[in-house]
Amino acid sequence: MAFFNKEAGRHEQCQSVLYAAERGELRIITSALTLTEVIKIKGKPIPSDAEDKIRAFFEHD
Amino acid sequence: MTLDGSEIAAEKFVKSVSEFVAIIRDVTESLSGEKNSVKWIVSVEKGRTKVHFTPRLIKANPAVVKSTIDAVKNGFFEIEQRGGRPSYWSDASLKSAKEIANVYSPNENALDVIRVSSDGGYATMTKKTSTNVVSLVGNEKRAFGTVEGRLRTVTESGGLHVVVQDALTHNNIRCFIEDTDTDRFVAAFKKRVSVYGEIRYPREGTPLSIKASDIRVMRESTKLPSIDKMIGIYA
Repeated sequence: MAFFNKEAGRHEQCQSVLYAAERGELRIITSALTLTEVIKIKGKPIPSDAEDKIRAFFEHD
Repeated sequence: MTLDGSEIAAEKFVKSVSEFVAIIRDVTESLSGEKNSVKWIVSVEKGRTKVHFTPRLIKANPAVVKSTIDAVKNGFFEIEQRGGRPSYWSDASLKSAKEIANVYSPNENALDVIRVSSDGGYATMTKKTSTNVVSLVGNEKRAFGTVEGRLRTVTESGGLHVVVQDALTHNNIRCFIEDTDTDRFVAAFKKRVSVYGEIRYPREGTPLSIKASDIRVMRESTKLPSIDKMIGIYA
């Protein structure tokens, strides 16, 4: 969520981990629940195009 | 195959022979890539409990028969002596070997020799084979879940199934499908897919196969959003 919200002081740390994965230096493995946590936020509906992008983002391998 | 002892119950004898035939047929299919390529004739040696299995070629190359005989005999040796998984043996064959080993009963002085032999030597079986098979395929678990990877193969050999190469482990996972789903799975050939169903896991936890109930074609990596496009998507 810090990454998607661009939270100051936190999103940079997420970003560096994601870039490392993109370079093949590490592999990120997460649960399907993580996807639910970031697209089904209680009391805060998100735009459908954002949901589709996030679903697609989680399809990276 | 030799089954020897002072007293062998008819049902144990029949069980051993039928499980042995199942192994030969399964290994033959693995090596030839097709069903019923060799017909195996069973005969019993007069006055002894020695059962002969003689091949009659139908479609298979003669070399397949020689390889099958070696793979079956060496497989029994591998399981009994080393506790290893033999080449060309499926889980079903391993379970058949366990069933044969379970008729071995030296303490009852009933059946104290089970031996599989061919021109090139022999392999003996004891309860150790049964224990080793449990280690190889035992404690299997089943759970509903998803397998993701690339759909590499569609085949009818060994039951209608497709093979998905797992994106994480690169293992090939057999996905058994219903006849009615064939078109959907064939359409996904060579594509990135997510297959949902009942997954079969061995003890170490990496999926072996899945009884597929749904498939979803995933986008190719080049069409997925980059990291830069996702930063602050909610901001």
